[in-house]
This record gives sequence, structure tokens and C-alpha cells, in this order.
Amino acid sequence: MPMTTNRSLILFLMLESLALADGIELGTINVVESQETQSSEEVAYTTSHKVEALSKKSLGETLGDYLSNELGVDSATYGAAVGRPTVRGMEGYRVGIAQGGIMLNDLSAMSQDHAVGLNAKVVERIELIKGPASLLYGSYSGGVIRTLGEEHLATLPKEGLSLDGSFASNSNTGQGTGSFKGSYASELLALYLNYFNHQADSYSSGGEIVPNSDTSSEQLHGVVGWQVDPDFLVKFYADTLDKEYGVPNTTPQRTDILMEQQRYGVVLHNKNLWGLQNVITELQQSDYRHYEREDGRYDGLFDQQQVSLSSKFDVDFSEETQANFRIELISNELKVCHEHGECEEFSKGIRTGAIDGASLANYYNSTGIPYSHGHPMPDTQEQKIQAGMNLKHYYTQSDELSLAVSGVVRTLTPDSDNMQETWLMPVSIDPDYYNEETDSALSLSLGWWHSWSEVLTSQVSLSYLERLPSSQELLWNGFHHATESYILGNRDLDNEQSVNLDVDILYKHTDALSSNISFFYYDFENYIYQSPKVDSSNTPIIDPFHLSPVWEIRGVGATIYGLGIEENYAIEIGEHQLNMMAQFNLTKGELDESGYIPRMSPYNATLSLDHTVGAWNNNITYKWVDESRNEAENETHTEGYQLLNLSSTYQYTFNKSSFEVWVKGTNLTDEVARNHLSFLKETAPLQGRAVSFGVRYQY
Amino acid sequence: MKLQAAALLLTGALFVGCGGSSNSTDTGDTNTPIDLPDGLTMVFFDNVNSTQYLYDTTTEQYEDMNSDSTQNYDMTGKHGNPVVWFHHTDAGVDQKIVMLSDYFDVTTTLLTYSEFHYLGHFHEENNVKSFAAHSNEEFNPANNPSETKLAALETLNADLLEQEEIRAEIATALPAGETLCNFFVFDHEEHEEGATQESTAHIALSGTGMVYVFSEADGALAQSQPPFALEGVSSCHSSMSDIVQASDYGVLIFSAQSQKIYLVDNHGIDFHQHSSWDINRFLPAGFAPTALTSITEESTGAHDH
Repeated sequence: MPMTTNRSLILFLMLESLALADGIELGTINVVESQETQSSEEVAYTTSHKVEALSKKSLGETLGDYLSNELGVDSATYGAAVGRPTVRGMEGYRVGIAQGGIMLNDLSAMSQDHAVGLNAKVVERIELIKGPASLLYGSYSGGVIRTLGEEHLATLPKEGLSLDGSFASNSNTGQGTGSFKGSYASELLALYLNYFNHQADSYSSGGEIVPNSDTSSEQLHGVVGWQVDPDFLVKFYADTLDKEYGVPNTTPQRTDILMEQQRYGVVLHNKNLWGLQNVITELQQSDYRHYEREDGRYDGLFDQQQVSLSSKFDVDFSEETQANFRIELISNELKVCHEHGECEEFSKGIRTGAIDGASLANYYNSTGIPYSHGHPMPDTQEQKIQAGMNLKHYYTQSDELSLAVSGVVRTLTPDSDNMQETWLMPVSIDPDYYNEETDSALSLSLGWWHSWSEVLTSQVSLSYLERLPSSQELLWNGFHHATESYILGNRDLDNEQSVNLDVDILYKHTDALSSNISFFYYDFENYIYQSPKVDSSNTPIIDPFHLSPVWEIRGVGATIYGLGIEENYAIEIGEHQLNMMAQFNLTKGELDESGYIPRMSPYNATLSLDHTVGAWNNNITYKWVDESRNEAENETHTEGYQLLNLSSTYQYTFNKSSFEVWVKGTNLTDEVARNHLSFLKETAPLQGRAVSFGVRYQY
Repeated sequence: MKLQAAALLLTGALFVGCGGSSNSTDTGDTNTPIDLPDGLTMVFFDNVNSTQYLYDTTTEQYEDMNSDSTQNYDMTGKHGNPVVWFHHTDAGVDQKIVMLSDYFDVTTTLLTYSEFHYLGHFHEENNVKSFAAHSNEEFNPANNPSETKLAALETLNADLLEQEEIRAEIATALPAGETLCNFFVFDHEEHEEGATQESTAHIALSGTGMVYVFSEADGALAQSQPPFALEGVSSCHSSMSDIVQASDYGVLIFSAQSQKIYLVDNHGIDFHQHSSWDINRFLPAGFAPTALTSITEESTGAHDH
């Protein structure tokens, strides 16, 4: 049995987790997606984490906060409420976020001010997937972040009543978080509820309040499970998320976003079906909506309704050859309103019979840029089918070869009915602008996992990835209030293409000391990004309506490469268990035409010492972030910073219960830390010194 | 915790918060503020059936001006064309609304008492200002009007004639094929003195509903930005539209075609349609005005048509 599977199964059993294990016998080879690994212990395409563990180390409540301690992961913050993870320098559409089998229905990839449509605290596990395994979900250079809710676990919660509640305060924001998770299960039926509430007033940094950095968020997630027979489990779920957060930008009036999302779905778990193993089928209906307000006025409204059907299963061709398959059908409808004070509801543009796009044409003829002051993009409908396969063959116990392929076909149908007549794209400028189009993309990945010896394991993947440009990258043409910028899409964008090389090496010096090295080199043929538009004298262009910078969506040649190193050392001294971790991340993004890619993570390093004795667990973490050294043209410099965090937890266990109290201090030196990845780094530094107290009760 | 969330999961069907009632004010059917620029007193007039409403943008309250027949501004059964008059006096600029007869044409005849219905402005009583109007009969020579009133009529005629000159100047500046429907000029006083006019914006609404912006330089008007259209407006007639001042940097344009008011302002480089309001959001349903005028208690310097 290959090393990856063996170790995974051991950890798998120790964690008493997924019932998928029931279908796995020692001596056979497990699928990659069911591995339970931690980066320090194993080299694998999928790294899985329990949310509780991530939560303890997290500096905030966003998905980016939860994952930013992982090798190569950072958070593109936009105030306290927004933090989409960036992975190995990849951001936005290059990082996929899946909820179980369904790609998350939100608009967080569209713009940095849009929050991810989930609270990390409400899921059970989070997986980081890269290389061939990620192609099951699509083509994402940064891989896929997959969250697993209770409905995605192939077992019912443990029989009887389980309760898990916690409260935590935050001295900086004056408020805190509360969560409650409970389940009641019999052998055949189970009810599960998970509620999370996060309230935060505007935080301070360097002793000064950061205006409009407040957050209010709550999410309720419920699951009903029915074990139909030993091989067949059905779970129905419903979820509602409400989030209201300020945008700490430069506008004198308060900018805030009101976000809501509802999801309903069913997940069918079949251990065996028609010769297929571990068949997981999910159907989900979701409705995402957010309002953007300025001074209480509704200036923006985004709504995306989505219906998805996905199925994922494994096939054992032989003892040596296995394959994972996944297919997803997605139908979504995106509606956009972006007009001063007119976006409480959607409306159709008035048609008077006047010439389409008269005003836009005038600007195009006058400036060469088709400026618009109407809704920035037409409503769009997407029908998409994505299918992926990851075929694995085990040559020997120390060699695993993977070949993955992903294909996607998308029909994009713009509907310009929402657009104001005078801001339509005239046929004279682009006759095909609102035409329906069907596009496809094909991606391939080849992976080789090899165990060189008992102490040295490596994993190499080489991928050719094609990503379809998003509807926003193609069609957005207008001002965006929250980011205070004019975004100029590009209707003629080609697929983003890249050749990605990932190398991971694990060297176990001893049972106590291990080194994990992760290297990546991504060569983009058509890297799609927002670039400041400049005139012939290289001066940034500002839009004529709001004096805001014009950001142009471009596809250019680019290279992004980097290195991550993590050292782990564990030692026991008497009753004291010490775990030390040192991590270093280096990422660099260069444009082929010279210059750097904006908003790349500065070099950073983390030192962490975890100490456990008896019921006590203590942690001290120091993080150093370098100044921004590789800045894009017209990108402003960001100073480096250092963060010092301490936490201490005491857990008391009695009968079937455990009671936990903790204190956590973050940014103890009250450093004014600015995130180079953030559009709002000047107005929204990271949170200053905060001390949190928390309690947790589990039954 | 939101009840909606709990209800959603626990009952699967119960939704709350829908069908909210209004705030019982006279303005609109939702609790959402109208948010027209504060400080304006607007008079909307329907020249077809003589309906007339006054709307205060600060209090967001409207008033039927024809509900009290004893008021001089009652237009029941009459037809007219309201205009704003920036009356320059020794005390400053007193903004007035003059309800001209709808047939009056200053280019063919001078205005006399018989060519208008009322002259309204803010009257101050006990430090409280309120809109009131003088009857045209107060200007009838047969009723021995005061010298002040006669002088005012003279000044009004002069101002109306001057505006016609500006109208002609702007009409000439429009591109071939366009006709001038309405206009507004900021910084009127500077214009009169012939001062440097590079920053003086002339807003023009053409017969095709396009908004042109001119600035004056070297004694001539030139387009200072690309023209643009207003949503829902494809044609314009002077008796079915109006432009009034909203702020130092913006105007409100009314179109009877779309029954909307548009805020056209400049907070960057170019004037643009910043926002718009359906008339029926804040005035009674069914009311379809053909004209709008607006004045403030503060003195400003500007000219509309």
C-alpha cells in the first residue's frame, strides 16, 4: 500500500471521522479525497483540517483568516468582514471554493469587497486541494478550498444528544462571537443545527478607530439525516446567512454591504451504486444577494440564483488503478444593479426608441473609452457543465501516478434588458457584445507521488489549465462604488491558460523533526487581471464621472512562482508536549511585458510554539511580513509589519462533558499592520491589539 | 438572532418581515427616504388639467396648491407655464416663481399683469418663511400697484429677455440637427459681467433629449464633454420639461415624457445623470405634471429658461 493511503487511513481512523472509511479495507488503495492529512505530516494533494483547530489559531472570522496560517495561503482582507483566501499568489477566480460537491454560489471572486458566502465556523472541515485532485472541481491555478458541512459527512452524528456551545469576547471591537452546535441522532435519523453569530464594532489600529470596520454576521445551518439502509444515507439541509459590514474606504459617507444567502439542498451518500463506490450526489438551490449602500442609499444590488446538481464517485478498475469522477451541472442567473439610490430592487431599462448607446458612443468617440454611467453589466445567465476525472495508477508501493482531466462547457447569455438605453453597448462599437456564446475549456494534470525512502517523499504535478473568463471580466463596464474604481471589462478575452508546476517534498529527519518544502512555478499565457489603465504618457487614467482610477481587465503573459518552507519539531519533556513550527513563504509575480503583478503577498515568515501539559494548551506565534518589494507599476508601497499572538486554553473534562476556557491575545504589540493584498490597505489596517476571552462547553 | 433564520429552518415555511406598511406620511409608499436634494421648494404643474402640487424636499411633504381657492396660487381651471425668476434686489437675490400664461412669448410682447397668474416666493412672518404668492391683479395698473411692483415687472421683463438671448446663444452652439429644448446656466452674475467663463457650465437639453454641457471661453460656447441622454427620454419640448438648480454643481431636469426628475451633477470632471426619481414616488399616483419649477430660501446665482 502506498505511503499516502496508509498514513491517511491511520489518521482517518484516529479522527473517527468519515464513514467512508467503512468502505475501505486495508490492503486496498483509498481515494485521495478521503485522505485526512496535515501538511506537516504528509505530502498529499488534499490537506484536510478540522475547523475547530483552525479557529483556535485564527486572527479573525473569515475563511482567509482561518487558512492564512497554511503554507502559501494568505488573506485578501477588505476590512474585518472580508477575507478571501489567496493561495500561492492566486486570487479571485483562480481559487475555487466548493461546499461539498457544489461550487459556492457567491460573488466573492468578482470583487475584493464581496465577502465569501459562508462563515468558516459553520462548517465541519476545510480541505485544501491542489494538483490533479483539484481538477475534479474545475481548473483553478490556486487549487480548490472545499468546505464540508455536516451534510457532506457520510455518517450520521453520533447517537444521542451532542451539544457544543461557545462564546468569545474581543476587547478591540467591544463585542464577540457566539456559536451553538447541537445534534440529536438515533441509529436511523438525525437532526443537526449549527448557529454562528459574530458582532463587532469598528476596530482600532494603533489606538485609532478604523471607521466603518464594523461587522454583523449570523448563519444558521440545519441538517436532517436519514440512514435509509447501511449503504445509503440521505441528508437534507438548509442554510441562511446574513451579513452586514462596513467598508472602510475613503468616502466621507458610510459605505456598507448587506449580504444574504439562502441555500437548500439534499445530499445522497451511496457507498455502492451500480458498481461505483462512494457516490455522493448533491442538489442545491441557492440565492445570493447583496446590497451596496452609501450613506444609507442603495447604490448597488447583486443577486445570483443558482441551481446545481453534482455527482462524485470512485471507480476501482483494479487493485492498482482507481479513478475519481465528478460532474456538476450549474445554472445560474446573475442580476446587477449599480445606480445611485436606485438599487433597492431590480428594474428594467426604459426603451424609448432612441438610438441604443448614444451616450456611451459619444464617450467612445471622444475619449476612445466606452465610459458608461449606467448599470455596469447586463444581467447574465450561465448554463455550465463541468466534468473531471482523476485517474490514479500505483506502479509500486512507492509510486503513484495521477492523470486528471477537466472539461467545462458554458453557455453565457447576456440579457441587456436591465441596461439603460443610452448606456447600451452600440452595435457600431461591438456588434457581438450581448450575443449568447458557448465556450469550452479543457485542462490536464499529471501528478507523480513517490516515496524515495522512509524519510523522503515527494509529489510533483504538472498541469495545463484553461479557465473561462467570468461574465464580469467579459462584460463589466462601469464604476464600482465599494472599491471606488472604474472597471473596464474586455469582451474579447480569451481563456486564461497556464502551465503549472507544483513540487512538494517532505523530509522526516527524525520522528520529531520534519521539513516540508513546496515550490511552484506557474507560467500564464493569458493571465487575466485588473491593471491600471494609463494614457500614452503612462499617466493613470481617471474616469470622468468620479475621478476614480480606471482598472482595465487584461489578459497578458505572466509568471508567478514561489517557495514555501515549513519546519516542524515535536518534543516531549516530561509531561510537556512541545510543537514548534517555522514557516517561510516567498511569492513573486512578474509580467512578461516587464513589471510585477499587483497585490502579491510580500515575503513572510511565522514562528510558532505550541505547548501542552495536562489540561493546558498554550501557544505563542510570531509573524513577520516583509515590506512590498515587487510592486506593480503605479502600485503603492506597503511597509512590513510583525504580529505577536499568544493564547492559553484550559480544558476540564468530566463525565461526557468538557469545559474549556481560553484567553487569546492578538497583535500584542499593537502594530499598525497594512495588508499589501488589500485594496483598502491605507484606510483599513489590520486590527490592532485585541484580547479575547472565551468559553466552550461540549457534551 | 434573526427570527427569519430560525423560522426558516424550524418550520421551513414561515417568513417574516414581508409586506411592511408605509410610514403614513404623504410621501410615497415605502419607508425609504426620497432623498431629493434638501432645501428645495418645488412646484409641479400639469398644464392639461391645471393640477398643481408643491413639494418640500427637506420635509418630503407635498401639498395640493389648488385645494384652497382663496390662495393666489390656486390654478384651478387655468393654464400656465411656471418659470423661476432670480430677482436681484438690493437685499440680494430673491428667488420667485412666476406662473406665466402658457401662450406668453417674451420675444413678441412684454410681460404685463395679464400675461401671468401669480408671482410666488417665500414670505417671512415671525422668522418663519413660507411660500405665498401675489396675484397678477396686484400688478394691474387699474389697481394702482406700488412703484416696487411696477419696477419688479420691469426687471422681470429684462431678465426674461436676457434669457432669450442666452437661449439663442446656446441654440447656435448646438450641433447641426439639434434644437434647444431647455437650458440652465450656472453663475449668472459672472456671465453678465463678461468675466472669464471657463468654469461656467451651460446645461442644455436638446429636442432629442440629449444633455449638452458647454463652457464659455473666448466669448464663444464650446462643448466641454460628450453629450449624454437621460434614461427614458428621447424627445423634449420646452413646455414639457424644465431644468432647475439643485446645488452649486448640479441641476434637476424634469421630463414629462418619462415622468422623472434627474439629478445631473458634476462631482468629478463631467456632468452626468447621478440619479433619478419617478414623480409618483413622492407625488400622488395619477398626477402627471408637464412642468416643474423650484426655488430655495437661499440666494443663488443662476438662470434657467
